[in-house]
Amino acid sequence: MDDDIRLVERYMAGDDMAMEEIVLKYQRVIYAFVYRMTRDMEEAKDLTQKTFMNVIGGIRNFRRQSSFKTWLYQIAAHATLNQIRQCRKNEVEIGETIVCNQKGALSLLMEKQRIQDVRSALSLLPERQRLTVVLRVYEGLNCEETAGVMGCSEGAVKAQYHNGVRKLREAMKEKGHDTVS
Amino acid sequence: MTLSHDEIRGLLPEYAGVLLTDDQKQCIEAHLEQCRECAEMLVLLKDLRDCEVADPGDIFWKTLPQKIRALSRDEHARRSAWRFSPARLLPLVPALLLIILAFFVFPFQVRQAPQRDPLFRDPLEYSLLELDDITEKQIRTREGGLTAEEAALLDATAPSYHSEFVTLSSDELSALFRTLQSKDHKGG
Repeated sequence: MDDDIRLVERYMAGDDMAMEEIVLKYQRVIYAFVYRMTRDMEEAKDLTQKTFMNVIGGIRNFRRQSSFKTWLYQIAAHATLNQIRQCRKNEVEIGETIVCNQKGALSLLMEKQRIQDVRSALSLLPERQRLTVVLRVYEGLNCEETAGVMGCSEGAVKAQYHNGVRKLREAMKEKGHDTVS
Repeated sequence: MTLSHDEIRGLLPEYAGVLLTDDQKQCIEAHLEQCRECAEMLVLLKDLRDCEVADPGDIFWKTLPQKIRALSRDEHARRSAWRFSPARLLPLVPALLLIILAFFVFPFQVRQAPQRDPLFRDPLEYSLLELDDITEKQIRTREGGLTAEEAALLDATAPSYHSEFVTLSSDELSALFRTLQSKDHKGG
């Protein structure tokens, strides 16, 4: 049996340690996923906690039709998208400060700027395209798993992903970055 | 192994994340040498992967599992309390009330319903007919001149008074005669 399923069953049987093990196993990936979506550390911390709280509340609804990891991402994605939509209502654009702790080399600074621009371009994507890109590129989920998290077909995932990446390339070109190194 | 341009484009995230088999990697690398579009996309994906995630610090990583464990303990306690709580039966109360209501009100309504004439159920039930005050002369027979409608209502196969008397023995007939005499020739 899958390790995750075993942990879930232990938890359902009343073992609280199993939930702690689940959190220890997944807290970093969920935090990273949420952070990449929100680009805000405090928000990412809150959403990571909220995700696991939702897991506690909804674990009895986990039907094991998908893997536990997919289900967990689904909960995190749901919480994150809700948060993003809520924030958009009273959005205040805060310019991100570039923390440069490198030793002054111009090329390194330009590299840093380039990564900064990619992040900015990512944050400007429509939320479902951003979610697809983050799940596919960062979280290493394949099309089927991503479709499971997003609750859509694999074809829709492919379309969202390609549109997202195309927009990112265009945004990078506009900012003067040649994507071929 | 051969993969199309679209298939390779779809596999680039896995390639950037080093999640492919050797065969797939070789195929993609050969394609990347010729295809500028895919090469550009790979650079972009690598840039994306290079974006750092701000570390919330050790305190967060250490306290979160404990916090969630405490919450799950509360949840378990809440669930077990609910399992043995009488409040769990609350949803059954309306159903129970309905059953009680139906149990008491329905028979009452039946009792209150207007009593139907017993003859309505079986108009030919002789035992229900009150014949005490009827004399033999008042009983109309077929020969006595029934209307066509009355005659049609009578069951032709039903045994008549005459046929009933025929089945009686002489002793029974004598006993009947004596009884009728004692009751002043009134039947019933």
